Amino acid sequence: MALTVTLLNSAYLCGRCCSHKVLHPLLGPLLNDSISKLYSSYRRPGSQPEKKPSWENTDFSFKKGINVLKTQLSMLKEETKDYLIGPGGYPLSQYLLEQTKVLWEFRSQEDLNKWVISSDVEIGGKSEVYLKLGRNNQAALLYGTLNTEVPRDGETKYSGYCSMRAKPPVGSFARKKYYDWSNFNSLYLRVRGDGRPWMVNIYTDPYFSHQKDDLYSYFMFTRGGPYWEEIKIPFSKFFLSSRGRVQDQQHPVWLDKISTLGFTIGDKVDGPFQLEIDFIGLLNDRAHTEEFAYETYEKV
Amino acid sequence: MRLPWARVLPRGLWGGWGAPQVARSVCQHSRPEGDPAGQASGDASGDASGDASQKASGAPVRRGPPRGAQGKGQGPAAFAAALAALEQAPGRRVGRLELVAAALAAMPALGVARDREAYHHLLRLLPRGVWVPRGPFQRLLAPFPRQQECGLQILEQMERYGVIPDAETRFLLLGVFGPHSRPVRKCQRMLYWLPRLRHVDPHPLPPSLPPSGLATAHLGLRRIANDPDAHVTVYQRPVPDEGDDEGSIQPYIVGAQSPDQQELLSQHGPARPVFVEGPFPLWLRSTRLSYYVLRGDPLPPHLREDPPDPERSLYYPLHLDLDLERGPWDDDDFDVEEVEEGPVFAMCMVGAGDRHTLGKWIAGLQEVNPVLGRTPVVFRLGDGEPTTAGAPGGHPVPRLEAAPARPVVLGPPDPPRGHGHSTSGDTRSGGGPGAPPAAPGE
Repeated sequence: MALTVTLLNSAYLCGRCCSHKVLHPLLGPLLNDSISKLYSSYRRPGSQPEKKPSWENTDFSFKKGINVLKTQLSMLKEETKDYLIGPGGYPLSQYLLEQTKVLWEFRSQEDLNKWVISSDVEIGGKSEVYLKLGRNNQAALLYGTLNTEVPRDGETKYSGYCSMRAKPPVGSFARKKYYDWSNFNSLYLRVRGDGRPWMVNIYTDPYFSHQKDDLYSYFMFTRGGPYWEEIKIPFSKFFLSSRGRVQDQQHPVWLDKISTLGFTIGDKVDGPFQLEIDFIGLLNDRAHTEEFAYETYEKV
Repeated sequence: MRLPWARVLPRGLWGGWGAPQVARSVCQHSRPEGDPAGQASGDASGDASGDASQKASGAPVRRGPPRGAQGKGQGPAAFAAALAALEQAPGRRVGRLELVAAALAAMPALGVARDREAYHHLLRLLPRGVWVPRGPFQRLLAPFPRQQECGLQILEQMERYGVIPDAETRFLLLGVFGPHSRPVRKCQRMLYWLPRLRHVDPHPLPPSLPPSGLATAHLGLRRIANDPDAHVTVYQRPVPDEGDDEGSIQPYIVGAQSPDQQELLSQHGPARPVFVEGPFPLWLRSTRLSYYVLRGDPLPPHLREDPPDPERSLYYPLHLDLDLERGPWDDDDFDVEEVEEGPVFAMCMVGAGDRHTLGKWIAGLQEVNPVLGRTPVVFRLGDGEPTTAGAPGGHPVPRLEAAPARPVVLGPPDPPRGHGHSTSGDTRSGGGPGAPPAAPGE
């Protein structure tokens, strides 16, 4: 008994919502450095079951293990140094006084490697999406084609979405780390779109597994045109949704345990799209005093 | 109607006897190509219902199909007439759920998907009071599941098309399903969320867009101009009036330039070329337009002027950058290198994106910006077009400042003799001054 996401995002109205698949690192991928699948991944009816057990995917060679151990130990050393400097690797004065912070900027290929793109191909749709660097390596360009043709599997009703999500922060030895954005109250995006509306999703990777589909979303409307747009989205506007259905009980997003950020397009219009992103940052807007935009009382 | 042999017919989508004749006529009316299998929604069970109704056509017609409604054309009137014929038909009202499913599937084709009254009509066809559970124990047992799903389907289609329910919708749903049912809950949710998310767009478009052509181009240019002072000029009207195809005799040319852009162009200097780049996409809801941009390259670092030394004048500041809304304690700058891009001098939208038409635009611009007469104009067309092919590498990429594929150097345009005069669009190899395009970082 839940409400579907309104007006713009029909992407989640397919039979199964997979657009929030998060990369949970297992122990195995330490050795083979690939994107791991969920511990309870859903298999579409009609797709082939996986015949190879997951332990066969890992490479148990000794030399590779030593290299991985070296990498992880050096990461651990960096982390210890950062811990001694201050929270998040920054000195305490900077942490306390900062009003702006740049999270992701797109100036090189390794900046692009921190992001994962996906589309409704994973449910059998036909949309395409690509990510590359813009001219002079100064911005990232996310482009592709949206196709709302529904896959003919008897259970999907809507289709047509593409998304780009950041990889979650990973510490040494594949530990889960979180971003701490509690000093800020707005998300700042410098983008140049083509007029199509997007949706920004924040995933907090919660402790309890029954909340693992919780996503905080809000809309990002691009104006189009040759000028860059500076879009500020306060965190008080993000509403809670789960598997594409907006929940009745709303609460503001907890900013100290953020795992990933993602952009999705699913505005039910067939055709090509493009979005250039210069950088994504955080802003502490002192003029924004709203705590939460929606009612938190229990709705009977 | 006593038809005992009809019970052996295969069951339809909701366990009923297949979609009634009226529903089929509604669907056939909306799908003139006569798709026999696509009566209900696009899933496989819809196909089964369609097949069942085909087989049920052997049964004598239980109610007369609304022949009168088929000739009325599309729109709310046709839909209302089709449903009214059903209401007047005698006999027990069976097959309601199939009818609703078929009507929902037919609504987009009839053009009433965004019409709230059409959904009210549909809700009035459902029986009132029959599907209301009596007492808390019956409510506990999830009563009338298929019927409630039917109500949910109606609301879900309303949501998909952005139709906000109102008090009357809620009243109708209460009468049909009762106060604690899933459709009423969903209606309450829609009444909470949809009105507040309706006005969330900071750059809203008018609710109904003009038909594509000159008017939409006007709207698009005013939208992307980013300046309320921008002047949108029509350099050429389309002939025929609605022609924006490649085959029209005279495509339209609409351009926009703001006073700031004019000033930038006058300061640009005729020694360095300006570039006409395009086409770039602009979406207005579901209409795709393309615009072209006249821009220059950014100055190389050694040619840039330093900002004026504040000690040159001690009595008053030479450069004032006051942000009076914020105090000095607010620091909103981001620690990131700025994207270096050349200034944009003007934008335009044309019916046909060839050099000839764009040359006319440049000629029209030249009347207001005489410096264009001495500046070489380089056309970089076709770089902004995104491709449908697969691989991300090795194809023209949709970037705003792409590498020139085949730069065509056009010498300074001839002095225009009025609108409609075309500049020479010939390729001159090794043409005017500053022939190779100065493109840093390529």
